[in-house]
Amino acid sequence: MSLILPAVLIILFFIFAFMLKVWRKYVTVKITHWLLMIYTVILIIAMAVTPFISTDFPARAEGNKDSWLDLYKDLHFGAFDRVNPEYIVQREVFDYDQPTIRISSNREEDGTHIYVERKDTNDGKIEGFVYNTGFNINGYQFTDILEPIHLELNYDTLEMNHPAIQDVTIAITEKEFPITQFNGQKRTNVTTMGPDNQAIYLRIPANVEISNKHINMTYVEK
Amino acid sequence: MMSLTSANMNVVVKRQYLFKLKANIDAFSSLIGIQVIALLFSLGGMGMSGSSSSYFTLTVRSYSADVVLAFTMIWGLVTAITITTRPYRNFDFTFVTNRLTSNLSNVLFLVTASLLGGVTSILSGYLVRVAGYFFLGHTLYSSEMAVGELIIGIIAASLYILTASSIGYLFGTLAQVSKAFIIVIPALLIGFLFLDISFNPMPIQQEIYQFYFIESSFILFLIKILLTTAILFGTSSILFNRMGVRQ
Repeated sequence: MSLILPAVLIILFFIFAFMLKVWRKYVTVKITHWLLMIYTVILIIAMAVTPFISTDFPARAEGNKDSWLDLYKDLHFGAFDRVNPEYIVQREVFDYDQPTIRISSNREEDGTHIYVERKDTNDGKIEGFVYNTGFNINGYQFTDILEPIHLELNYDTLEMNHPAIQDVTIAITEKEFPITQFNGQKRTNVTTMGPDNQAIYLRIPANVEISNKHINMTYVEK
Repeated sequence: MMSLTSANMNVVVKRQYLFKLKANIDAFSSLIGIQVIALLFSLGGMGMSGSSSSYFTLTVRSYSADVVLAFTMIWGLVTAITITTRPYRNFDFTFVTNRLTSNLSNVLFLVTASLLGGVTSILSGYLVRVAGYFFLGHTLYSSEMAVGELIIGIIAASLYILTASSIGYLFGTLAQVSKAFIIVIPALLIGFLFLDISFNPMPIQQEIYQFYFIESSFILFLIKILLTTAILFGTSSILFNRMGVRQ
């Protein structure tokens, strides 16, 4: 599609140039006047249409570049109730009555931080939280465009389902440099933050053992 | 035969200016052509950056009409050079004229052309957005443009084009004074581009860039540009005045 437009415009340009050459032989009307008028009208129409097709930038990201460090620190010390609620992307409570549980991932090498808190009671419930400190581009919150990890209980296995690798293209329109020169806006220097900063926090009953030992997880210190 | 009618300078300049607008109307066709070509370049995205992790690959494309403005500045430079050439200068002898009225009408024509170039290049930014939306299929994130920003953008863009025009006018004038400048000016420009920066921590290109493009006060920018163009047009006028009639 991206190649069609330039091709069409180039063809139109040559057709127009040819017509201009032919017309000039027979007609004395200045084509330039018409050309200028048509071009001006097209520009004005484009100006009128733009507000209807543009999408406003998402809200400004509130977190700072160290948000994920704070998150990991809080989870490490079991202070999950102190974590900013906006970081929670999934919260699940699973009824569970088996003596052991296996944690699995659909990725062979999964670097996700997993924190496990052993509850004091045997309440027969496993609580799972998926956290993400947010994904932002140039300070704008784009967290929603990325699909997070999904937790699912399948009999005696808690599955961490990562989405397939996502291919995301974002188009940003920038104001022209004679405008940004005076309004103080900075030109886009794309910086992304946070897409990998995900963490999982599990609260398991006191009597449930985690059966697989090779998964990388941290037991919380309270 | 002597004429009993004394020509008022303002009237002559006005007549010449209106005549030049009509005579050089084809310059505006080339303006549109050059902007359409620049729009095609702009649709590829002004800038592109990528990022990837184990979770995603991200491509950020940025769109703006900066390329259109750059092309329009080149158009302004070329148009100004063109109107200093002998066939165009000979148009002036259709009227009762002198070097001053000829120069003034040329400057007025270039101001008009710069204004038109400034308006169309800033408005073409909207066309880039519309074309990007309909033909490239991306969701376009953009911040709203205030009316004040639009007006400042148009004025500043016009001033940039006018500066390019005044440089072109000086180059054109120098080339009329001596044909040697046709070789000397490009040589100087190329040399200027490759000026050795190793001995100078603040090369002149950077100083010029900071002087005009980094100026964040609009009033100061306006003063700088107006002074620069006045000096360049003034120098051109002085050089023209030193030339003989129909030289």
